[in-house]
Order: sequence, then structure tokens, then C-alpha cells
Amino acid sequence: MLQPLTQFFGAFGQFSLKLPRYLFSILLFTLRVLNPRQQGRVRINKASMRTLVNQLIFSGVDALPVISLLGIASGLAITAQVILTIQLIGERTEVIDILTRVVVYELSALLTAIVLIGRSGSAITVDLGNMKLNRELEGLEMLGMNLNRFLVTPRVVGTAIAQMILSIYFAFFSIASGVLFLAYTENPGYLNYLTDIANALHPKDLSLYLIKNLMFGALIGSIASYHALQVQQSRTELPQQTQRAIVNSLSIIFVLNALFILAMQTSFL
Amino acid sequence: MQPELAAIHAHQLQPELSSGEAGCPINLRTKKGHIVCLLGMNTQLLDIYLRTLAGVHAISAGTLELYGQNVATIPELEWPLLRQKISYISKATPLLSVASGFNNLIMPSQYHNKDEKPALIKKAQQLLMDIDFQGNSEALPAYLSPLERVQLSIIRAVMLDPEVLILDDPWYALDPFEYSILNQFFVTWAKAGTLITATSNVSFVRKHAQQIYFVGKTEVHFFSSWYEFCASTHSEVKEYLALFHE
Repeated sequence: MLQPLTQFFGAFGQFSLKLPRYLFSILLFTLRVLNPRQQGRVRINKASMRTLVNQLIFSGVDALPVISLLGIASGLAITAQVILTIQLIGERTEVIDILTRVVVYELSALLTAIVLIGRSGSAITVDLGNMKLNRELEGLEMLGMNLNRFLVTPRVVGTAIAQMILSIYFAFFSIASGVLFLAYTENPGYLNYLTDIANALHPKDLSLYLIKNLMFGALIGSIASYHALQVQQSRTELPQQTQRAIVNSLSIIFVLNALFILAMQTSFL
Repeated sequence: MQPELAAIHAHQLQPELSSGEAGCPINLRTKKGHIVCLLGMNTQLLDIYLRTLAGVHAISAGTLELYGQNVATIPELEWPLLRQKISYISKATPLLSVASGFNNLIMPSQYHNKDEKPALIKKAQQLLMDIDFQGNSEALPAYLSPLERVQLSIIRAVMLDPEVLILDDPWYALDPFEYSILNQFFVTWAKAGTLITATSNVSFVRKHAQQIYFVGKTEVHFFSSWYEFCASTHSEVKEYLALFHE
């Protein structure tokens, strides 16, 4: 008679533990991947460096056109509109404050992360997942190669660096395009916003912003790799794991961003 | 004078089978310059024995020593070096699909910081000539023939200067007229190393094997020559010979 009740609580317990267990696995995986002493000693090898460079080219350089486009579009849609709207009801310093908070620190990081998840995250999962399915990874292990060091770490480091640089690039394009648009269509005096915004960037917030982007990028690469390595034998697992990697990356990045906002909020106050 | 330390020394080694049971015990001691062949009806079982000898598969009973060290006590950090010395190549011979054939060859050597890139390229080109590779090494593995893929997989392992090559039927996907290309390379290579292979290529076994192990259903039989193998009175061996002998 008690069996259904215990089964219910058992299932409830399992369900409640699922998320913490997943987050813990991701954290552990990321720390393990980023541990420079994975094979007992720190040693740079050219094969891993080449994987890192390829990842930087794919995630960073190849993403520049789409990031530029997004930057210009959001510059016109957000930066220009924020300036035009807020200056009617507030002071110039408030406009600058809103632009640095929203466009520079938040929008750039989030939009870049979304692009990175869509482009690189999914590609990493498919790439590594296919290698696992075809038993290519086993072939490498048999040659004494540490998979983390050769395939995963360069991808995680690559996405982290790419996220940081792309985010800065996006912020610059977004602010510059909005201000230039207003200077061209309304009044050249709007150009002063460029120097004012640059002066408003506090070193402490900037460091937090860089750390946040590095973390976002590392997590995107790490979650994508983690799900790729969960693929076992069937080809149908690959799209399932890719979808999980994308959805989970988005969720984790948004939650983490909220936590960063709280941290930055205290520094603003 | 101390006897030469065997790269692989298996004593009453029983691999764990997929059913959870223990396989038949095998005793094996590798010698430099020897070609060791594993024969049997069940090719999957042969691969399990190969993987066990390479220290990749779970052991049910007995001992396996690699360079005098019991595999159970080998620290994790020593395995990468051992994997370079004792190379196992599976039947699937999977190359990295996203890298060209040539990059597949030098990548592991670069990973292990074996040499500078120009030296590695030179070495790879020499080995490709030695194995009589006729394909386009710059092509992706998907665009290579089965023979070319097998050749590249073997060279990829040989680039790391192994002392023992463990191969699961490298002739598996090849046409019979392509066998001799690999045979010649193996014989030359095995003069300075040890080759362990599971195969149904009896022609190679007959001509070149110094140690033959027949993995039967209830026992693993050892023969020191092809003639001894042919003279065997074991029913399973006779049955095998009737099926496979030319």
C-alpha cells in the first residue's frame, strides 16, 4: 500500500536531483578540461595548438560578419532609440549610464553568446559526437592521446577567447553605429557620446565584463563538448544531444548573466 | 646477462567476455622480430584477446605485464607512453575524418612532441613509400580506398616508433590481390619489432608467423610453426584448416 507513495517520493527525489547533478557534472567537466596538468605536467603540443587556432578561426574570425551585422542592427534599433527617448525625460549622464549598462555590459555579452551557441556550440557537439560515433576518438586514445587535451580543451579555450573578443567587438559596433547614425541624421554633436561612453566604463566593471564573457565562452564550449561525449552508439543520439547542448547552454548563460547583473548592480550602487 | 624484458607477457590471461564470463587462458610472451598470429572461428573473440593483450580490455583472471609492469598497477600517467610503445589498431581503422590523410599521420607525433614538423613530414613521406601508398594523402579519409585507409592507420601508429603493433585483421576490408602490399611492409617492420595480429589470412600466417595461437571454444592452443599447426590433432583446428586452408 505504501509502495505507490514511496515510488512517488522516489521519482520526485530523482527529479529534484537531476538538475543539481547535471550542473555539478558540467562544472566538474569544465574544471577538468581547463586543468593545465591533465597529464601530470604542463606541456604545450603543436597538435592541440592547431586545434585551438582552428577553433579561434571558426568561432571568432568566421563569426565577425554576423556579429558586425547584429552590432549595426542593434545600434540602430537600440542605441539610437535609447539616446533619442531617454534624453527627452532624463539627463545626459543617465543616457550614458543606460547605454553602458544595457548595450555594453548586457546586450553585447548575451547576443554574442546566443550567436556562439548557435554557430560554435552546435558545431562542436556535431563534430565531436560524430567522431565518437565513428570510433575515431578510440583510435586517438589508442595512440596515447588525451582526448580532453587534444580535442576538448582547445575548443573550450577557443570559444572562451572568441566570446570575449566578439562581445567587445559587438559592443563597439553597436554603440558606434547608433551614435554615427544619430550624428548623420540629427546632429553632429551626438558624436560626443562616443568619448562620454568610453569615459564611463569603470575598470572594475570592465574586468567583471571580461570575466563574464570568458566564463560564458568556456561554458558554451564545455557544455557542447560534454553533450558530444554523451553520444554512445546510435546516430539518433546526435541530434538529441545537440538540441540539449543548445537549450542547456542558453538556459545556463541567461541564469549566469542574471547572477552577474546582481554582482555588477552592487558595484554600480 | 639478464633476459630481454618482454613488451607483453601474459600468464594464464583470461579476458572478460561480453557475457561476463572468463575467456580461455592464454600464455604469451612477445619477442622482438616475431610475428604472432591469433586464429579462430570467432573473429570478435579474437579482437577481445588482442584488446586484452594491449591493456585495453578488462581482465577476468591471470596476469598481464607490459614491460615487466602488471597492468593493474600501472599508473594512469604512464599509459600515454605505453600506448605509443604498444599500438593497437582496430579493424575499423578509424582515422580522424576532419583531417586530411597526411595530417592524420603527423598529428599524433606532433601531439607527443616527437620531432619538428619538417622532420615528421619527411618521416611520414618515407613511411608512405615503404608501405607503397599510391593514393592522395591530402584527401580526407572518406575519399580514400579501404587499402589506403588501412595503410594510413598503420603509418599513423608507426610514426610513434612503437615496439609492438597489435592489429585486428588489417586485411579484413581488402581484396586478396592487395594483401601482399601489407604483407611486405609487416615483414620488414617486424624485423625490429613485434607484430601481433588476428587474421584469417592463412597465407600470411603460413609464410611469416613464428607464434600461432588458435583461440578455440574451450582452449587456446599454441603452435610454434605452421607445420605444427597443420599437424594438430585438435578437432577445432582441423575444422578451421578445412575451411580456410588454400
